[in-house]
Amino acid sequence: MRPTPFCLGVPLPSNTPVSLPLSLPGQLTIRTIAAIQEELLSALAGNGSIILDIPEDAQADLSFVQLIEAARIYAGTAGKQLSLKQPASGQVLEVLDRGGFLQDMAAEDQRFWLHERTVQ
Amino acid sequence: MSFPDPIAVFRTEAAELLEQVETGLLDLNHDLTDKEQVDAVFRGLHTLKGSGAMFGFEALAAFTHHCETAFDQVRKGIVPATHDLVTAVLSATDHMRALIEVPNGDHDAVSETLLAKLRAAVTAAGGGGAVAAPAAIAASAAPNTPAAPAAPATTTYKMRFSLPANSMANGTNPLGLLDELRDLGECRIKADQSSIPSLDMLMPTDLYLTWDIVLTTEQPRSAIDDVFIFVMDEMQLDLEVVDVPSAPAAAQPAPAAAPATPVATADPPAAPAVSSEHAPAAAKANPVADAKQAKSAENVRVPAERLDELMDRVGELVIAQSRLSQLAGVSGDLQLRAVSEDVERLSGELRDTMMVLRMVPVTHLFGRFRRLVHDLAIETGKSIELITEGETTEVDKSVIERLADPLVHLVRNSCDHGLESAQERVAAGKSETGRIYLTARQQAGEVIITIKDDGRGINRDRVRAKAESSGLITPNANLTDQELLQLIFQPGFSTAQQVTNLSGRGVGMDVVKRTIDALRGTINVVSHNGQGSEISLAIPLTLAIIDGLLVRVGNGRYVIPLSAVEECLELSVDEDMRSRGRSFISLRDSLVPFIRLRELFHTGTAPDPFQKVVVISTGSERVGLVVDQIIGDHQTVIKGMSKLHHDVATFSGATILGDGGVALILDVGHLVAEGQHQEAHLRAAG
Amino acid sequence: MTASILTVDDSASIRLTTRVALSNAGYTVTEAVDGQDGLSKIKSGNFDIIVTDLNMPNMDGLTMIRELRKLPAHTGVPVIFLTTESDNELKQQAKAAGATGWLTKPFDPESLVKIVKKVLGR
Repeated sequence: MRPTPFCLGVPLPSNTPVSLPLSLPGQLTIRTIAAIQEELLSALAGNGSIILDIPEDAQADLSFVQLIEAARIYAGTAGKQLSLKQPASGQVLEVLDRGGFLQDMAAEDQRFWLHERTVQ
Repeated sequence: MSFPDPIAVFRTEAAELLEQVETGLLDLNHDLTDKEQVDAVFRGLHTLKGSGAMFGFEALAAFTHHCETAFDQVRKGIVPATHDLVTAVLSATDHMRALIEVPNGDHDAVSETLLAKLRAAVTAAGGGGAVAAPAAIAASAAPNTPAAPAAPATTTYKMRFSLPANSMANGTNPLGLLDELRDLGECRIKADQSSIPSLDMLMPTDLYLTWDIVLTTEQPRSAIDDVFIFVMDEMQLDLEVVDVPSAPAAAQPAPAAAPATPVATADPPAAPAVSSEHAPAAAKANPVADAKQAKSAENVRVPAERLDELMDRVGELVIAQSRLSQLAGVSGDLQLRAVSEDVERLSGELRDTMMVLRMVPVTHLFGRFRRLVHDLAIETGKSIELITEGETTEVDKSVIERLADPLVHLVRNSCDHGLESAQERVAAGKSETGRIYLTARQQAGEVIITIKDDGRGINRDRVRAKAESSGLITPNANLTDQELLQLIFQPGFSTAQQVTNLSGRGVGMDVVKRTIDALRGTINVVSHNGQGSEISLAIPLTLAIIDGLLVRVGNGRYVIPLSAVEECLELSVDEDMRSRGRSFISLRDSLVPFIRLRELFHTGTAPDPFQKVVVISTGSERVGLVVDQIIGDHQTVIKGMSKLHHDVATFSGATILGDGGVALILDVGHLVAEGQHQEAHLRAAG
Repeated sequence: MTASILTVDDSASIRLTTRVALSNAGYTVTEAVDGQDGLSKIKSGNFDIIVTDLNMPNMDGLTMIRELRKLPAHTGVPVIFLTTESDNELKQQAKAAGATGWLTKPFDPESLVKIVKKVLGR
């Protein structure tokens, strides 16, 4: 378990103080997913910590959740921080639910997507 | 919202299509080689048939179908376009107009006259009797009378599935499929994200997820297949029954909502009837899965190629082991023999384990047939119910792959020729809905797959007449019932009196026989007039290892699959001399053609003084193979032939012998056909 | 939100039947008369699903599907094709070209709507 302390959902990065918000567009579906991948990759290349701002009414599908999971893996191996500004809501939350991500969700995933702390 | 009358629109459109077809035909008459016009005419007729059927112009669709068939043959180069053919279709277009104007008039006489002309033109142009008398396409969209619903029982399925990587990009919405599964009952869905790569390696439109699902439902198994109907062929689906179905009376957590009906296409309502009689049987037939379940089913997914590699290694081990036993056998070293026997036992066990690893259930194979039968029911206008049983039966994966085509053909054949129209069935006192049973079961070292229908049965007189007329048998030949029925698998044999949409175009039942022969399987046919037919395919569980008879011809050694060997005889010098110039031996009052392998292989050696005849057979046909020496039984690991040799028809593969030498495996099906051919030739000459 | 559907068929009567069925089910329908027309309408529009015939003049359905799958801006648009054959080979070809599902002609309006609903999902 990563000993990352959380406070109000905002991570306190341990190695670098730079923490940059990244606002995502309103369409987060397979038609635009390639562009979002580009954007995320370049943002992660330049910063130690990215806070994703997902519009509440964003359209999202499975490809978006998959992309964010891939980004978490990337950030983890590159020693960067990735987090969500708000807990998942709207269509993103719906995709998590319908796609079976919430079932037996790992504590770490719960913290990331839902900003929930669970008692271990 | 108001729309024009579709029938009126169809009439206008049909007029345009006919004009287009006529122009095409007239242009074609100027230049018979004009491919573009051939295509245009075919396309016009095709559309006319399709739309006609949609808007209730059944007679038009049925009539046009024959013209389309004729042009399909022209398009495919089977029949050349001739002036006669063009004229015949031209006059047919006038009749099509009449069929559109007065769809319910009495057109049969005219239709028949025109089609007779068309037939004559096609035959004159060199085509087969592909165009047939007008068959009224069963007009009734046979209302499916659902079987009385059996008391709903709940079953719990445990499944794991993944879709092809490009499925999202190709429009499949995995969330929709998951929703549909949830609609079937109590559903627990967990996404497995372990295959998602790092962001920089991600193809963002590809799908990397796999799902683990536990579903408790009152719906039959077919409802799950319906969910996956469009992805069935490409997806990975592991499915196990966790719970034996229990009666609803047993305190079962009642589903919150009324059970949802299957979302996908209206399948023939076979389902309720099936679940009652089939589900318990399936559960019984699958104690392995239950046992597996009991100790928490843990599965490891391995690419098929790795299994093949492992199989190769095991094969090599078996070969090395047989060399070892040979050496141990000739040496007097008792310790060496003991070790050799141990190794023999272990490699045997390893081989058996390996075989089990290659086994997959026929579930997936059977799944395809639901859709096929559904489509066939629509096309034939018959009401057809498919009942599958024994889906958990396991078969070697390479066998499964090769079984698909023959099974498609047999199922089509049953739908098309076996089952009667609804009217005929009712007249015969049967239920309106024809049934096709597709079952699999394991028996000794074989898997038996049966395709059974409750249709009209095979007409033996017609089979005989047809076989006589096409020269397959001599008139009044004395055949057993099985031999007679097996004739339907002869090349060029087809009792279909008409070419329909379904079967009939090109492929014959002989393809089925060839494939089953290649799998070293056998076909058994049972048929009762008026009650239906049953075709059973018995196929060895695995392809990779066979028991063979090792023989010597000249200086070479060859393996004959033991399953095909009927008996071995001595060919006395006397008989050998007498048979010079002819190639028959008499075997208990019947003449059996034989092939001198020494001559076939051009060994250039003198015959052994004690030649043997190995009589091999495939079903009803026999042929003798003259060899120099029979060495003995030999268990053989089959090696494929190199690409360079894949068109050498006489051999089906090669094997490495205990002493390191190579022996070729004889292709029994090919040799029997060769022998029969020789026989027919000689009979014709004499 | 009503989904927007493009139907591609050279037969006016089939186009009409599909339009009636789909409009009655609450979808917005646009029509194209062949593959070429279909492709240009796809490029200039934004459709949620495409229902297409395969056997058409100018550009057949298979070619249209293949061309559509080369357009990144339209990735993942479901395509249902209509076929008169239960021809497995044709089905495989269409699937390989990038089709999502199929419907066998002749079909009734309800089964078309059912398939569209199934493929669109919720």
